[in-house]
Amino acid sequence: MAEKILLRNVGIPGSERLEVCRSRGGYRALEKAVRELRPADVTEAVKKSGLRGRGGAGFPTGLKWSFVPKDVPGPRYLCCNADEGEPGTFKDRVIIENDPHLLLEGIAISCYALSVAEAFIYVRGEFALGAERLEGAVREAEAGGFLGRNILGSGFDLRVRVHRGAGSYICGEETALLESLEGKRGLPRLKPPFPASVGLYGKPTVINNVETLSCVPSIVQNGPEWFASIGTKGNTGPKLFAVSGHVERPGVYELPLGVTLRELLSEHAGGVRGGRRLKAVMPGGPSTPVITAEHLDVRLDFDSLAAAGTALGSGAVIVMDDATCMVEIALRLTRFYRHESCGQCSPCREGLGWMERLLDGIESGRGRLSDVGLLLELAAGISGKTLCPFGDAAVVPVQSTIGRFREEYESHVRTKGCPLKPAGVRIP
Amino acid sequence: MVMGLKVTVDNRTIEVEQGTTVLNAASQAGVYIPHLCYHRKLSIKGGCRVCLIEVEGTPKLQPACSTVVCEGMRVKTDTQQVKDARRAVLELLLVNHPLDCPVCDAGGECKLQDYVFWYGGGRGRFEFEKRTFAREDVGPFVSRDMNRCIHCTRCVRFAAEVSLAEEIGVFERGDRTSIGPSPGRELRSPFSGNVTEICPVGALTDRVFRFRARSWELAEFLSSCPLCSAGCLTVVQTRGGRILRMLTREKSRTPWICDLGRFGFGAPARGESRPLIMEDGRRMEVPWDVAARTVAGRLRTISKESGPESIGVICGTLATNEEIFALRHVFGNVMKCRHLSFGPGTPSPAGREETELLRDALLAQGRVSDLVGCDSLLLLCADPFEETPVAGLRIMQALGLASGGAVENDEAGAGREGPRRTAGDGTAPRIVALGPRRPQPSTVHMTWVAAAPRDCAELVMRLGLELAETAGRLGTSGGPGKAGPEAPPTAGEFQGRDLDSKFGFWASARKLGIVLGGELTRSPYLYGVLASVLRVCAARSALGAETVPLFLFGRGNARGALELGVLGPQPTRGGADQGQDRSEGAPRSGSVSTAEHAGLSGIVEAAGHGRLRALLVFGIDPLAECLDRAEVERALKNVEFVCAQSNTAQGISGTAHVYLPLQSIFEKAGSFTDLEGRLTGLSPQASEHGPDSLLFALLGTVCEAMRRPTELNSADAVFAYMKQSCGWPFKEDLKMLSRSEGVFPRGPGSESASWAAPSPDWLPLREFERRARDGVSRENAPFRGDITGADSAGGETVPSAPEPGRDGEFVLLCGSAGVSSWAWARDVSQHPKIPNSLFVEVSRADAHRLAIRQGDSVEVASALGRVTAAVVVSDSLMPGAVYVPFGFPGPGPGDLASSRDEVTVVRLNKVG
Repeated sequence: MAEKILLRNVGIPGSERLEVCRSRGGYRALEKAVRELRPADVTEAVKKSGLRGRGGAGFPTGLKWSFVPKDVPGPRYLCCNADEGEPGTFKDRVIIENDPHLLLEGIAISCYALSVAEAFIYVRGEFALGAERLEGAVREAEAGGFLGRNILGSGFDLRVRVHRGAGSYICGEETALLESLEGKRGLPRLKPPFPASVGLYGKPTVINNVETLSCVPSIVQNGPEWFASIGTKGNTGPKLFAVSGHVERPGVYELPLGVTLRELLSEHAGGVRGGRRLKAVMPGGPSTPVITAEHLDVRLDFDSLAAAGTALGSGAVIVMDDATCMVEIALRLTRFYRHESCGQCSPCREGLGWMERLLDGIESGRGRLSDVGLLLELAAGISGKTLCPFGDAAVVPVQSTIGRFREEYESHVRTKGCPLKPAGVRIP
Repeated sequence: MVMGLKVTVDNRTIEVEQGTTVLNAASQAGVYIPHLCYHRKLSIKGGCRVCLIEVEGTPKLQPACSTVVCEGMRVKTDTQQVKDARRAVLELLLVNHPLDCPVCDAGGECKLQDYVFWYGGGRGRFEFEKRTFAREDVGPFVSRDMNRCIHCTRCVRFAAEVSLAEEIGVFERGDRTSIGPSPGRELRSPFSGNVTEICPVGALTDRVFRFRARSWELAEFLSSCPLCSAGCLTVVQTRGGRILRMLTREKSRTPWICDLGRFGFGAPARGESRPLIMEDGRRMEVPWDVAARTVAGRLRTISKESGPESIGVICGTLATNEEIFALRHVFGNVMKCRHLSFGPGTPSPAGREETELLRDALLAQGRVSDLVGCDSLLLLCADPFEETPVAGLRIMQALGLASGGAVENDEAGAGREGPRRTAGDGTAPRIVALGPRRPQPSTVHMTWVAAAPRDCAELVMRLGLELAETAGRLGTSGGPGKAGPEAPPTAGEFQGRDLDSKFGFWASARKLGIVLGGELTRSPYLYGVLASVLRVCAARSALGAETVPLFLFGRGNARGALELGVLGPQPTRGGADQGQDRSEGAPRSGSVSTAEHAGLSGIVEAAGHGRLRALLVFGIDPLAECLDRAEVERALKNVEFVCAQSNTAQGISGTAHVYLPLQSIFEKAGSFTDLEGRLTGLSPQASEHGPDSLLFALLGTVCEAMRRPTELNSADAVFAYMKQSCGWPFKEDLKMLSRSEGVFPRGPGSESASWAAPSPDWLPLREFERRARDGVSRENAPFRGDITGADSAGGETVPSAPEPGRDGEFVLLCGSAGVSSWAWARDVSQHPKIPNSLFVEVSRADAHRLAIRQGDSVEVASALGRVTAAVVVSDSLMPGAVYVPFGFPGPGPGDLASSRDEVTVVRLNKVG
């Protein structure tokens, strides 16, 4: 893909500033939307484009918008989920820091489509620079007439507020995000009701990811057919891949959905570091099951990866070479999930600590063969039993590494330690 | 109820209402689904995951507590998948839960224990060290053991949604989560004990009951709580005839009880268990019949020699309706005594006007549920959460500000209807508090017009008259209202008049609730305020608006004492004209007109003038509860024969000629009248004195001595007689009554106060109102409160009159201490924060100004005397006032104030 859409302005000096953004065509799609299109036309275009949510679940965005009841009186809200906290994911940050106006334009067009007058950007607490740039961009855009009252003379009002999170991973879950935004503990809510009907402050609310919203201007500008021509059938548009781990050139790459893992790794990310062998890849962040070298030709899109038994997730491609201990990977990730568990529902709160201790035992040579089976049983007792998807995600590293590398676990037990590390090295 | 959804649970097909959750549908189908975090009166959380079930067509298991049924849904609760999930969740819940059920106070009544027994795997696989916390007391009544906590957050939701105290929170997250009050704080709301009952495990336990018995040793009785006028239904748990624990009747109309009701039974009997007779300055133990014959003999002699007016009787309000009725019957009808009082907290009408006013007020009295739909509420010298806590809770529920009540439909997925209304958000009713104290809970937004009781009464009377004049319904000439309904003025017209802006709702509210505090009964302004409130009801009715007056009554059987003791049995009063025409078929009763009863002050006066030769005191120490103690003491010394029935042989009983032991109110059979007029039954516990009040034996002996034998010798007999003489149509006897949820003697709804057509006969100005209007009773009439103020976040506080403690002078306020002051609990728990001697409350502002800190010793001095007590710094008391509670032995308000003075000014000096 020669022409970049989402990263178009990245690397241009001063790309976060309105004048630079304007000089490169920024806010033209908003002008087109509010002047030439009715709100319903925008929703229709987004539906036709086939855009699917980039936050991880891949739910069709236009369909999500259409769930917002039309006839409910009172305010409705749009929340942009910029709480990019998934380990290995750093794609939204690139947009937030380098092209905040692209996001604001996407938000403005989406709010126009949804008749929303107030939007929130919930930005990850650690993104200090990003939050500053967003706040600056909001001020610039308001001064320039692209946000605020009577946008571009169309009579459409939109207030955008930037809210910084406080560092909790679970607040990236959309309903926990709403709770946090309301000033409460960031605990996921029971669903149903879904936010589209009962969301922020009990009002209908749409929550979209940064990358998703950033796709909207180009859909409006170039038409849904153009957007749908990128990628594969049912998996349309550009996608940001955050490649990390044992590759020569880690980074964020914008490629059409459906690019093969092989192309991404060898042509863009420079292949496995130091010429080592590829051992495993988490194609969409730690909550997606690992795949191995035999899957190099899988297409990186929602449906192909699902067929391969994993998921596109957020597009965080974590690459591991053959020197990587899979038990250590599972231990580190389980420790992360245990630490971030909100604690409101029993299986996740009580189970992850147990799993972490079992993994620690295996990794440090105190494990038993039966522990591997127990880990799987505990994972099954958590997966699908929790209030929010966190529990399902949290056990994926254990389930998938045991699934593909059970032998490695058992050799830890047999040799009483990690075969890939010198004795005495402990995981911090 | 809209039925119509067919649901199949484990092959049992039933029809349920729309919105029913799977958990409730299953329960209707007779299928039990285990659950821990779900509580039928709290919002749904879905956190414990024990209730997971299979819904056909849904791949993932669903929580039964939060899943709402739909037509044709097929639910399975006994598949292998469900069993595995339950086993997995229970195993995980035990990971950090101690497995020491034998030494856990909740053992035997622990849901987790039961579920692990029924659904668990039977074998623990967790081999690591458990997470531990230190055990901690979180208040005088509640102990917290975080190790046992399963984080169901029922207690947190209770404090947020029901008690509105917001005093329990969740700290940290994940497996480090802990639950409790903020560090350094404790559970302070009057409902704190409820969390021990809703805690499904042994994490929050009742410190009064803790380790005193195993749950399976307890016998249970249905009863009701006699300690305040809220009329809560209870379950009494006993072992070996001793009450060990008081619980709520969870599925009844009162699913919560307050701490007073829960722990207030606990005071150990300190008195003698046998009667004492004073002879030659020595006290002798005698059998009951000897004591009773002694009393009867002396009464007969004195009555013969000096007439019945030389006998005085004072009874407390912690008495059953039957005791009150029998006392009035024997002393009023048989012996024709006119010195009969039901204590300083019960009004003693001085004349016919006052008596009728009290009757009208009782007829007008609304029910808490009548407050549903009120757009404005006036709390007039009322602090419902502290006076009659559960009534306060129900008021908040009726206004939509709290959930967890019995009125709401919890089957329909409570907690789904979005956020609760919060006062001040535009949809919630406006609450205005007028009084010396900012009513609780502090989390509810309200406008507080801080004013001393005299100023409150003044304002209410003035505004009531203004409103009535506007409505054209004021019969100044003594006749019924002159203006007909043909041209009623509008509320707008009224607002244009000289009305203070804060009281615009007086006229403009569509539906106004007026809650009157129970302490008003002690106040000299009682009649003026009652008349004004009734006048407002009628005037607003003429303006087409609805008004619900609700008098809180207060501690004990205050309404029963007023209705059956002071006013005497009233047959059904269907219309105003039937009022006087009564007792045709009923047995003779009330032959002494109520207006002739002298009341407490009359008794004291008679004694002071040497006209009283005998005094009988039942269940009350008049010295601890009255004003002007020195004078009362002097007067009582003039009485040659004193008989006191009390639970302590101290105080007045210490000098009585005959001391009779008093059973606890929990040991007597009988009925009780709550503030709404409902009769509830007290279920007696076995005691050494038997289930019947000892009073009946005494009264029987007295009647025999007077050659007027009576059959009123048991609670059952009195109840039957009372039913007949009052013309109550219901069929319940006492036993049935105590098992029921209570009975309205005149049938449900018949007494509800709609005031659609108020009786005109009270519209003329009463004498005391005329006095008030003409400023006769007050030197300078105008209300001195500044009732303009700015809204602030926690509600609005309006500066008060008089000026805060100017010249070091304060207005003395006295009354019963609020439930959350824990003054009642000094016999229950040894907690250091429970006051065990007199305290005085000072507002935070005054305390700051005078550099007085909590616990400091101060001297409060009035023209009459002085007392020394520890300071409690109050956030709710108005500046410029000092509050001294009744009820502590030793010096108290009685040393500072006289009932003859409308206002007592005191000075405050720090001691030491």
